This record gives sequence, C-alpha cells and structure tokens, in this order.
Amino acid sequence: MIYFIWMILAQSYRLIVTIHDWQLYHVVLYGVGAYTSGMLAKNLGVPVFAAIPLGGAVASLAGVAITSVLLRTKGWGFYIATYGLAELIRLSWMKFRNPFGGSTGIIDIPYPPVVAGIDFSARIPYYFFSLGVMLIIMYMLYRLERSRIGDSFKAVSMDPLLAASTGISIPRQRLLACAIGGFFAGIAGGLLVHRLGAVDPKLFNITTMLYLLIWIVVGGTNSFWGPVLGVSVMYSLFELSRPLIQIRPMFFGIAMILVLLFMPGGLEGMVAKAAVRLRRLRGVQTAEAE
Amino acid sequence: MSILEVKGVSKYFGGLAAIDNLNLTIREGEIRGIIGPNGAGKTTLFNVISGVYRPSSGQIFYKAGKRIDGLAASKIAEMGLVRTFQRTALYPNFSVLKNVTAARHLHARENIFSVFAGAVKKIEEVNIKKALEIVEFMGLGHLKNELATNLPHGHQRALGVAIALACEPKVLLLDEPLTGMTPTEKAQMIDLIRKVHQQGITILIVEHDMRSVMELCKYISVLDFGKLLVEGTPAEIQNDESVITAYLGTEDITSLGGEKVAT
Repeated sequence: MIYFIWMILAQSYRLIVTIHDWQLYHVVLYGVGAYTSGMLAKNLGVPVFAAIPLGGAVASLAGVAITSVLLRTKGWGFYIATYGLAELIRLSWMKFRNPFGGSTGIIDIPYPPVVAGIDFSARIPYYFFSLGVMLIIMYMLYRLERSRIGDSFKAVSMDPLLAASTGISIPRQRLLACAIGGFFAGIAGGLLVHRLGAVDPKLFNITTMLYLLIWIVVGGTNSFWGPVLGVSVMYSLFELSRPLIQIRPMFFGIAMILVLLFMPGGLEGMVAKAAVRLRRLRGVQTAEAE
Repeated sequence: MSILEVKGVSKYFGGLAAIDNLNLTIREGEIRGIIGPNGAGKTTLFNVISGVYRPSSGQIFYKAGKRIDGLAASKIAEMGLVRTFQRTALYPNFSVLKNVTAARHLHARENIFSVFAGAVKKIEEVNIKKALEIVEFMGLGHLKNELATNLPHGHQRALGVAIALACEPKVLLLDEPLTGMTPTEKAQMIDLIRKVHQQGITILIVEHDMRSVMELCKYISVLDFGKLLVEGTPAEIQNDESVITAYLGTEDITSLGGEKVAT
C-alpha cells in the first residue's frame, strides 16, 4: 500500500524534475493532500472518494502558489527557497492545534465506505483500490511525458533560452509542471490518510523528502522507468532493513553516494547500458555464426 | 514599409554601453546584414530585439507601431520575430525531427486535458508533416532520427535554423549562421537563406564572413562600439573610410573576408 503511494510520489516528482525544478516541497504537498482530504471528510462530512481528488486539487494550488512566488529564482536558490516555504506550511500544522491538531495531528479520520458490496475500509479492497489509482496515475503521467507538454518540459530543462525563442513560456510551463505534480502528490496524501485514519506533521518532514530524493536519484530520472525501479528496489531494501532501523539512514546515505559516484544514470541507466551490451553481444554472436 | 524599428535603444551592462542610442529601420521583405568588429554590440542588439534582455532605454516597434521592448522572449516569438543563436543551440537529447516538432509549440493546441482526449491528433499530424518538410528543406532528411548531439557541426547549425523556421517567423534574426562551417557548407547555407528570403521572410543577419554578407545582402548596417557607424550598399560599405578605420589597421576591408565583390 505504502509502496503505491511512494510510486505516485516518485513518478509525479519526476515530471517536475524533467523541467529541472528539484523542488523540496513535494512531500509537504503530499501532506496538504492528506490534511485537506482528512479534514474535509471528518469536519464537513465530504464523502471519502470525493475528498481525495479535492485534496489533490488543493495540493496543486499550494504548489502553484509556492512556485509562483519563487518564479524569479531558479537552480539552487529555488531549491532552498522551496524548502523554506514548505516548512512554513508544515510548521503551521504543528503550531495551530485548531484546526490542524498541532504536533499530534488529527485522528478519527473517516475510512472509505462500502460501495457495491465491497468494504473499502478493509485492508485487501483498499489495497486494490490504491493499486488501481496508482496504475491510472502512472498511465496518465506516461501519456503526459510522451506528449508535447512533456517535450516542452524537457526542452526548457535542456536549453531555456532556445525554448523561449520558439515561443515556449518558461514561467507558464514551470507552473504547469508543479500544478500537475502537486495534484498527484495530493492524491497520494488522500490515499494515505483514509487508510491510516490519522495524520500528523512528522510524516511530511524533510527526512521523508530526502528518502523520496534518494529513491529517485538511485532509480534514475532519464526515463519513466527510473522511479519505478528506484522505488521498487529501494523501498524493498527499506522494508527489509527494518531490524537495522537505527543505522538505516546511514545505509541509504551511503547507497546514494555510491550511486552518484559509480552510476550517474541510476539503476535505470545501468539497465539501459546492460541492454546495449547484451544486444552488442548478440550481434557479435550472429555475425560469427554467419 | 518598416516591419521593425529600433528607436534610440541603449543597453548598459554596469557602466558599459553594449549598444548606445541605436536607431535601425528594417523594411518588410528585406535581407539586412549587420556587421562590425568584435564587441560592437551585434549579438546584444539581437538579444534586446528578441526579448532576452530588456533595453536600458529606447523603444522597439514591430509592425505598425506595436511596441515589443520589454516583452517576454516567448511572447515576441509568438508575434513572429524569431532568432537563432550564435552558439550552437539545440536540444541535444532529442532526435533531429523532435527538435523541430518541439519548436512547433506555437502551432499546437495542446493542454493537459487534450492529451487524454486525442483531439489534438490531427493538429499534431500537420505539425509533424510540416517539421518533416523543414528538415528536408534544410538538407537533414537523411538524419531525421539521429540524436542532435551526434550531428557534425555544420548540420547542427542547419538544425538551429530549422528550429527557428518551424516557428513560421515573419522576421528571422540569424546570429552568425555560418560560423565554423566548411566552404561547401557555407555555400549551401547561403543558398538556403536566400530560399527562405524568397518565401517572403524578412531576414536580419549578423555575420563575420564579410564575403558572404556582401553576397547575400543589398543593404548593410555597420556597428562599432554599440553605435551605428554607417549604412549602405555593400559597395558603399567597402569604400567607406570610417568602416575601414573601425576594422583597425586594415587598409582594405575586403582582405578580411575574401575578394572584392563585383557591384
């Protein structure tokens, strides 16, 4: 279940990375989605399945708001500033007991209802529900990346001056990227909160963001399959290393440094290289056979 | 009729004037050469016109008095004023064809919802067809699936022009399109620029290769230290005392770029 959420987070974050905005508020937008969806369902009685996309919409707006303030910055200035504004949001959840519940968060968030005889509050149906949501989102992001919009994001990251000279508005595309990414991050938050039945600010701190970055960097960002690999491999290791919980951050820190040093394309880059080598090997064999 | 008018434009970097109170009028359908020694402000002029820089003072008018100074570069491109770059500017990880289709941004009607609706399919087919035409026109047809980064220099320069053409410009600003090319490539490029001009596109060209500029342009503006030194036909420019002095120590301007052009 958490795996699906990680996958949505990593994949939506990668879309933003294709335009080269490595913002550090993605996990907080995930939190915005969780808080919004949870509070809408608990306080206003909005049905859970409507609250989740609404949480996505609010997260998307929050992302647009943060980025539009920071449009004049780019590169390192932008990355650091996004962290600042993200902490502002997160600390306000800690600070205001009403309505955010302070550092203990919110409990008693409604579980999903029974629809067509299936009780979505139970573990297995919810598992398949989130699997479905993840697959739909992955498909949408896949289509987006292959579309003209995805190309324009890559164009902006490769050569912003050239992109602008062909009529691509850089501020507009940056806002679009963070709006789309934020929406899906918010949905991931909604998925989480209606399973846990509770939410607290610790879930969305910078450590979580760092883990997300590690998954993505280790997986590779050059293709759609990088984050898939990164989350699959690293999250499995993350779960397997539970007995070593105290040294876990060290382990993942070292893993990231090793990847950066020895395989800059990430796991996905390694697979691509291996595929090329395999093909060449086969080519040699057929040539010899002839 | 003037299509582009630069009126008293200056651009300062710190205390230094890269261009200084410059006036320039380009007529519609013209092909205008802009020359001058290194540091004369030619590329700065292009950057100011195309919206990369905002001029420190002065105004730029495009088509019947529309002011364009200070607009975003993408907005200016949208109005039909498209530039190429002195450096080799392209998307290295895209194929040649994709470099050109990506530049059809202004001719696409795509938004986040239409991606899933399939409504843009027809428009995209037209865009790809058009991009293929341009790639063929620039003589890159056989390389269309090659990654741009793998192309030889001459082809990369041609791709830069193809990207600009894909925007369907009304005015094309070419910043040293012949840099680093072999004589054969130069001849091909000059031929292509002429063909583009014949399609009715107004062209401004900055170029160091004196012979080619004189061959291409009927009218030339000479810049020096950010100021307009002199304007005239190639023959007038070649015999102008001040131009010769500007190119320091050169007694005969034609020795810079090749033989004298018959006039």
